[in-house]
Amino acid sequence: MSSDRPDRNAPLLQVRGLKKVYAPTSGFFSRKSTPVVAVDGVDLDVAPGETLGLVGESGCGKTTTGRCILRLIEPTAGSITFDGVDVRALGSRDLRAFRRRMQIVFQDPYGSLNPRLTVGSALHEPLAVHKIGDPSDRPDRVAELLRKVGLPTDYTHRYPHELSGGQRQRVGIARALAVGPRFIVADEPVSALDVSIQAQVLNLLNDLQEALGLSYLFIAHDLGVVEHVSHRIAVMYEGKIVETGPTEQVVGDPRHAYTRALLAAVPRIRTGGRPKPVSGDSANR
Amino acid sequence: MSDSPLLRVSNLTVALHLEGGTSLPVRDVSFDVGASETVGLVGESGCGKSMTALSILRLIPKPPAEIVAGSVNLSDVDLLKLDSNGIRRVRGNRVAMIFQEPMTSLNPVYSCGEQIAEVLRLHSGLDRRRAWARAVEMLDRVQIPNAAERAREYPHQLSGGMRQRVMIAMAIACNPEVLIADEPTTALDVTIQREILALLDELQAQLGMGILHITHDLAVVSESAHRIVVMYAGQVVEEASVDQLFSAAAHPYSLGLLASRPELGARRSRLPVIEGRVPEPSQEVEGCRFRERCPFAVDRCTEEPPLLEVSNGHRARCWEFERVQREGEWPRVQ
Repeated sequence: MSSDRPDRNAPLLQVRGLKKVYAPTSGFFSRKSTPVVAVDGVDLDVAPGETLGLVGESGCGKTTTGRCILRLIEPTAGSITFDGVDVRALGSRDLRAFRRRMQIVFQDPYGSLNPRLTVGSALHEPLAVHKIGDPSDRPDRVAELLRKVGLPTDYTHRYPHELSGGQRQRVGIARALAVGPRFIVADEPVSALDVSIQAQVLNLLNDLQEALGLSYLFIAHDLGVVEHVSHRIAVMYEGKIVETGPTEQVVGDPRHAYTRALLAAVPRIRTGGRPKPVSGDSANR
Repeated sequence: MSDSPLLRVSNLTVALHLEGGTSLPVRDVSFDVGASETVGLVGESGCGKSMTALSILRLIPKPPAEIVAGSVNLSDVDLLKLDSNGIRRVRGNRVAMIFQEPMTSLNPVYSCGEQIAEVLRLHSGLDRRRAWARAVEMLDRVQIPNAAERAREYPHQLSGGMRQRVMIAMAIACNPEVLIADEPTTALDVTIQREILALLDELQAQLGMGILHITHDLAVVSESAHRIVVMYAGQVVEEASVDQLFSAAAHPYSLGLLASRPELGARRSRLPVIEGRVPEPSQEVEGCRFRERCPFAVDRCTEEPPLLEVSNGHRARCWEFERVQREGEWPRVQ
């Protein structure tokens, strides 16, 4: 993935000065709170076919950033330009049409799939909502989507609870792909999965990017995963981007103290192992 | 294996009686934990690692689960043979446990100090004042700043890392011989994870307790454990020192797990993948339970392998372990 780097001069997505402030709340049970600045002036660029990794710890604002870009959360300030279109200026009708081009994959596919819809219906729904294709050929499209994400086509009749975590995430990805987007916000798409399944889903995202020329904003807390999938990495801390650059540079030669601390904290396979416990020194019992 | 283990789990088998029939989520599992030793119990979801841990303290819900065979010896006592009073005296006292999500294991309506004090009153028979004083001391011991004030706070007022410290304080309050830590850092950020792992190491050095660290994360146990037990589909498939496992894994599943992990600083274009999925606990497989996903499988694998001795302290449930070690790499498809 690192060798054929996409052209970064013409960003598909350009975010400038993005800000999200949660107004103070006061309720019967709570004291008046101070406003929370969740996202504090974020600038991001994502080129066509590029993966930008957005990494940070819980509460740093990475998820809010991803959702603000899709306007699933309304940003407080800043500009979002996608393929020349000012996303923040879109009215609700235009925004809905626009969502064909930007999609999201969530962390927990079980929470984001309707348990009462079969896989087939879940994939059929976005096609119907966006009036994609002729109703008669939608079953074929659904089958095609399943093939794309590596699921057997007879899975259309299954319900989410009949699938494993990895399979559910594949359905989540298929659902995002249904409308033919160019850009996908992948919010912790593999963190709920087991290592061996995680590898399958990461490879799938990679293959789809190559086949369809997708751009990803890949949000994750796991630096190992982010490093693996991203062309560039942006490190977020307390609502701000503290460092951004090509993956090799951010991981190999981090400039910001926070990036260094984050990298140092990542557990790595140590072959040496801990020294053997000294036997017989547990005399305190 | 240590000379005189504190905790010895032998041939533990757990059955799960459900409507659809009986399955065996834990199959003939054996391992030891010595004093001052950390044993990592590693595997993916559904491999039986948590079920094993819960069975040690007989915390599995019965029915539907039932321990059908094996023994769990704490020094000279078989925990599985104790009556309900007996096992209650062991829980939280001689063997303590901490869980992944401290918020759900702490009681939201009691202050942190009260919860720790309760354990001490129950097991050590301290009066209210002395128990409180000792609770504050414990919070201080797990490096919570301003312990005396924090003791009066409620779980929701603390961050995830602080809550896990409170859980640890509660667990070590009675100076347990063995601490069972079930994914203790999985819900935490990496920087906090590192602090908690360091804290556990430090407490172990002070108290000499044996730790059974259950996790799905190989890197975490490579840093925290002395020995590792790898579980797959209810069985122990490999047992080795950290060094042996990471430099010469002998079971194909361990090798596959290691290979499919995106390791920081070792970027590859495609991650090797273990094809297929784990057999259901109810599913009976002829021979080796990993056979159908295994690139090393040979005809003989239809006969179930026992845990074979690879080298001193290193055992693997694989007929082909020599070839696995020699090749040392998960074969790539495509």
